[in-house]
Amino acid sequence: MSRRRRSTRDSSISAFPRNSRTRARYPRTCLISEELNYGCAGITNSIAANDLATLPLLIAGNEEQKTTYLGALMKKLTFCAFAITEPGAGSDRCGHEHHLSARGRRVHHQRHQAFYFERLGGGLVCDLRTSDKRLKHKAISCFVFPATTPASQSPDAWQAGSTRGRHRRDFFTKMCESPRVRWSVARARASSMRDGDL
Amino acid sequence: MGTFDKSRPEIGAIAIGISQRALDECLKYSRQRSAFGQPIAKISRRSSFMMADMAINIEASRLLHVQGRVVGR
Repeated sequence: MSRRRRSTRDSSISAFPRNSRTRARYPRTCLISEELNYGCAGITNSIAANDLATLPLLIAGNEEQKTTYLGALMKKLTFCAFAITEPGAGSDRCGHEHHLSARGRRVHHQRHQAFYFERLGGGLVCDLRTSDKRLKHKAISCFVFPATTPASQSPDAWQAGSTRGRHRRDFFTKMCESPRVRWSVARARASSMRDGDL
Repeated sequence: MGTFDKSRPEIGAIAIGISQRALDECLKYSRQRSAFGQPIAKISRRSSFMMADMAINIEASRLLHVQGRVVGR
C-alpha cells in the first residue's frame, strides 16, 4: 500500500492503478483510510500523520524543497509489498526497524540482515530480512521490490545463483514449511500481484 | 490552501472509521455485559437510545463526508 508519490498529489494511504485519474483516485483513498482506522487507529494515524507534512510539499513545493525534505521519495526508492510474520511470532518482531535508504546501488536496511534474495516473476525481486539469522524467533520481514528500482541490487552472495545463496535457498525452503514464513511470503506476493502499478 | 482540499476529507474518513469501530465495540459490549440477569442492551432503554443516536450521527457524518469528498475531489 505504500506508494511512491513523486508525481501524484495523493496521500500515502493509497492503492490506485497507475493510469487512473486523480479525480477517480481520491474517494478510494478516503475509503481505505476509513477501513484502516476501523481496524487500528494507532497504526493508521502513524501512517496518515505523515501526509500532513508531505502533502503541502507535494502539492506546492518546488523541486529543491522536495529533494530536501522528501529525499527518499525523490530518489525513487520504493517497494511494492511488505509482509511480516503475523502477531505472535515473538517480541523480536517489534524490534525491527524498517528504515530503507539507498546507498549506491543497494538498498540498505537498518539493523536488518539479509536472509534471502530471489528474483520473482513479473519483474519483481523478493528480499527477506531478519534481525536474527538463526531465526530463533522466526520473525522475518519480506520486501518485494520492482526489479527496475535502481537500488534493488543485492550482493551476489545473497542471490540464489551463488553457493551461499543456494545454501540459504535450501534453508529458506525448509523454513517455508513454517506457517509463519509461508504466510509472510504469500502475503507479499499476493499484494504485489494485486498492485496495478506493476 | 489547496492542501486542505485533499487532507481534510481524509481526516474526516479517519474520524468516521474510529467512530464506527467505537459503535461496534459498544454494541458488542452491551450485548455481553449482563445486569439483573439480562444483557444491558435489553434492559436499559437509555443505553439503547444513546447507541441509536451514535449510529444516526455516524451515518450523517458519513454522508456529509461522501458529499464533501465528491465535491472537493
